[in-house]
Amino acid sequence: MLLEKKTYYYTSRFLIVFVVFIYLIPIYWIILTSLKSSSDISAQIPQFFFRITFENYQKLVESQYFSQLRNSIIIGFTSTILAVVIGTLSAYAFSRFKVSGEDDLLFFILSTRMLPPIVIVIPVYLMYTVLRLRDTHFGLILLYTTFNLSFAVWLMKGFIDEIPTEYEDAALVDGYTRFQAFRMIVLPQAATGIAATAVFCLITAWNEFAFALVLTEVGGNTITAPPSIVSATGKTGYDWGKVAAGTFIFLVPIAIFTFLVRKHLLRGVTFGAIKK
Amino acid sequence: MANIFLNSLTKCYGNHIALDGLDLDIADREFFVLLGHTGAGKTTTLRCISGLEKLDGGEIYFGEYLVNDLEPSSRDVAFVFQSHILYPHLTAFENMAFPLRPRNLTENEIKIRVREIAQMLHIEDLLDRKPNQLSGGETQRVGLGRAMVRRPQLFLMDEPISNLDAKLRSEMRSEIKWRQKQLGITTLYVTHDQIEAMSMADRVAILDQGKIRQVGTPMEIYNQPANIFVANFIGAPSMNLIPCDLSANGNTIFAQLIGRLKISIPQESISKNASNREVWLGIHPENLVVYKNETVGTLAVEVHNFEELGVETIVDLNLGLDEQDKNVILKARIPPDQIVQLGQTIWVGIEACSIFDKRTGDAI
Repeated sequence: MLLEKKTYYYTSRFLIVFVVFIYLIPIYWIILTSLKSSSDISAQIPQFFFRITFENYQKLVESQYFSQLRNSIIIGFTSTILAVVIGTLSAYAFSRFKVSGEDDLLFFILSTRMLPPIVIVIPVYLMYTVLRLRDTHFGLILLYTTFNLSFAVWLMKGFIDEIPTEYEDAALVDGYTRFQAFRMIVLPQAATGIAATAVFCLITAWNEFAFALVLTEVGGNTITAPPSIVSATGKTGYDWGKVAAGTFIFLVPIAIFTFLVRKHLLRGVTFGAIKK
Repeated sequence: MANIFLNSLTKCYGNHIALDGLDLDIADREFFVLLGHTGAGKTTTLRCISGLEKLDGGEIYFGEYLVNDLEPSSRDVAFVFQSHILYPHLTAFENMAFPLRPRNLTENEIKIRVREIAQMLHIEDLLDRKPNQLSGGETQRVGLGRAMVRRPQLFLMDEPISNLDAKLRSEMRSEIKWRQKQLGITTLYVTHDQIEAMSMADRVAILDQGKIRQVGTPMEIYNQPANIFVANFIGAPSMNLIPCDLSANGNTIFAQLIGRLKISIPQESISKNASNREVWLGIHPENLVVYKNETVGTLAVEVHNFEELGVETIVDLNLGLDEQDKNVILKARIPPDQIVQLGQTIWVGIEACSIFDKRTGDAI
């Protein structure tokens, strides 16, 4: 019995380390590349031992990359917050109140996600030109919020449905208003769901490429990091060192955010596996 | 403190009528139990009184005040639910303090009130724990404390102890009853468990399909069930119900059972106009007396089965076959020292019984 437990312990640990290793190889390679000089990068035999240089990061600082990253942060986080707040409120309404045509509405909300972005990018481009929303923070925030909202509503509805209504009923009877009950009872218990939804929304907005490419202008005020990394072509092809350095820095905010909400996230992603 | 008056309460969910013109008058400080099967409308009644459900018809009065249009928060009632009683993210103390928070009390007053009730319920040591660190009984106690801490006009309890094991249930029964009398707060208690109803209630209402079938003290309901439904519902085992014709022979009244079987009925059990009618005969198991030898007015039966329960023995007595060729079984409750054997022929007589009209099912 004891032996069995020990075997299980070591096997599972080994598997976890193995999987993490596989997952981290690309990131490891990005970091290596970002620290290499351009001759080491293009060497025929991949170089594992080389002279570390920060020249790629130097180049990034000199370029406009950090202001583009700032655009990504503004647009990504604002649209995530909006999507999660609006999504949570409407999910609560769908979950708790009689909404006429509830199923149709929910399906409609879901259907906004059915077309791939590339299909609607041209009409959106035209509309945004007329409305003068092209190359504005607000334009992209609006678009990403709309995009994430359907996801947030559906995900949050699942989480809120799981919270027994008795809790709110008790609070209502105890002298609280509906909104107080929502804030003091529902929100704390939906924290895991909110964290999971926020991470998913942030990743979607953060990585979004097609709209960002079409609706912003290179050298403009609002271009986000993903299209700018692509546009980092030099005269003699890609400057891989700069791309790697940019990509690595691009990963950091998401990693930090995920790390901050990790406690909630673990329960959030295993959600549904735990029976009441 | 208030008496509660419900006037023809009606509530529908779509086409389903959950409450069908419910009338109830609950006295101040009374412990009133609503008893019924699942889906009888018990919980709906509580939810309507608390204001969580809007009525489709009828009136609810607390004392002289019509509360129909009041929000749940302004009705000053406390609701104890069957499950999900405590907020999982708050400690026991915070759970108990929760109903006090909207009431403009200082933190110190809240502490005093919570400690006072916690002492009363012997849960002072548990106050710092989260609900997942509490046992079932402790959770129930804290839940009860949560309701009591506010001293509301009315307690509404929805099967608060149904999730507990049998031993804990019986402890909590006397606990709740005692606390209710001590606090003197009118209580409406919902259960499907007749033992809870019988042991705790000042008065019981039996609910079926949104209608009240009988209201009375536990003893009234047990001894004088108003109709077949109540007779069937109350008692474990419940009343024996047998269709029969009544006929008078001089001073004695006989019930003509299946075939040609006749048994005499104690006269005080029936009113005069009952003779020569088709009725249901209802007999509590303990009102059947078993004799080893034939006596006047008794009936020969065969012992079909028996359960020795220690304090008593429940005997299934086979009367014979009815028109559908099924055995007609009477259950009798006899003292444990009276030994019976399977297949043995014994004689059975009736000490007391109730009579119900065959057509309407109401008591005669």
